[in-house]
Amino acid sequence: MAEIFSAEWARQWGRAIHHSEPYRRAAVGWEGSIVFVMTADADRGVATPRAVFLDLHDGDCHDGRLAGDDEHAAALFVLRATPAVWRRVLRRDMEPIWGLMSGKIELAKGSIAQLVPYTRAAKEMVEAAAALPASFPAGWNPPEKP
Amino acid sequence: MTTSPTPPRVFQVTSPRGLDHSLPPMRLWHKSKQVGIWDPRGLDFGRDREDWSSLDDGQRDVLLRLTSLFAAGEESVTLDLLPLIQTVAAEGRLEEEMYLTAFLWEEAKHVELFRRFLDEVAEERSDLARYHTPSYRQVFYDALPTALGRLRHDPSPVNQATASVTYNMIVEGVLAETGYHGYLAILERHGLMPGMQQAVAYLKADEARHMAYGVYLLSRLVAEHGEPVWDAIERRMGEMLPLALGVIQEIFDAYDEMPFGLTLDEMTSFALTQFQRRTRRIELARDESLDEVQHADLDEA
Repeated sequence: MAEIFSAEWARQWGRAIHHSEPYRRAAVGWEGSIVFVMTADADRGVATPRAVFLDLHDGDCHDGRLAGDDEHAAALFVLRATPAVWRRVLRRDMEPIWGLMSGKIELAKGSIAQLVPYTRAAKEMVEAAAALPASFPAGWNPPEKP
Repeated sequence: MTTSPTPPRVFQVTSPRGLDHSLPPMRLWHKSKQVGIWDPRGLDFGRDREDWSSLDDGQRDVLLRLTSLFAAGEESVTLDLLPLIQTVAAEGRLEEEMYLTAFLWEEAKHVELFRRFLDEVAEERSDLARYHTPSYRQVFYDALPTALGRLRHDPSPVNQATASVTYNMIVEGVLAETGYHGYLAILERHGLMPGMQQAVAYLKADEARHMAYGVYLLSRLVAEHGEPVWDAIERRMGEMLPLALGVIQEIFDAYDEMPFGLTLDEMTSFALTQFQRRTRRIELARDESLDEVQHADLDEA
């Protein structure tokens, strides 16, 4: 079981999106790769930020991998949130669009207007991640709800 | 069979309690009396009629589309508010009920305004429901009346929060306010229809007070009832935001090139800024007492 925001988890997420028919239908016309950033939170076992890159084109995901400088530069969107927020999203306890609109998920790069036509695709993208068996950083069992 | 006796009626206004003018709804009530008095029939649409006749077909179509969405939306919020008024009245919240009477009166004036525009400026008598797109229908034909109507049978705090999110945060906050922002931007930038510009400025001020009440109501419910209400707010936001954004998107989908140069980016950026400020204010109530909520500053921006 891969830990969230690890290289293996990113790879699995990319494959899951690639095989997701609901995503394929919802994301027709979508062009724009995305970096998802999980900010550091030492209390939750995340000593440094972690970032994942999804290479997305017209209803498909060509690759999922850890994001470095090149991926940040290439991405049309960068979405950033705390580990606690990502955990809620991945447990289907927070709708991604609510997270984004409320600011709990920060749109660090890109325009909300470009995402509006693809809210369904974004939901399916997150659903693909939520369906993956995944572990959270060791020692993290938070009761909180951000 | 015995029935519990009806408690003797006590009139708040003649009791030592009187009226609490410091409560946010009372502050809004006083503002409505002072700055909310305007007459849709008092607006001068003379120049507006001339301007309308000078527009091209695409320009007329987008203004007619927006007007039809606003008009039916205002009718919907006028029709659907009563269960909330009944709920706060049944809870003995006289100050809130007093403000909500002004709130409802203002919504009714908005209905009158848009019909007058259609009658006297656009001279439009066709069925404008053709502009009501799928997401719009889900919001105004179903979600809004259902959420408010539920209060008639079960006015629980969670149901009140669900109704208020739908009515205040989504319909008024995301759709009406954003729509009026875009509509006014069109008219101002192109120097069109001064009568309608004045009207929309009035509308925006009215709606800002309505939003301030909604933020107060949700904050009060969170402070009084805690996490179950906050969870209901988040859940309802998650359900309604895709529909609200869908309404905006479907307006733009109707045009290969949006008349007047209006952009989706401008609309959504405005909606996002307003929405985030208000939701942060409501979320603060998770750590506040009822007294703190009742003495917070009003947010009418």
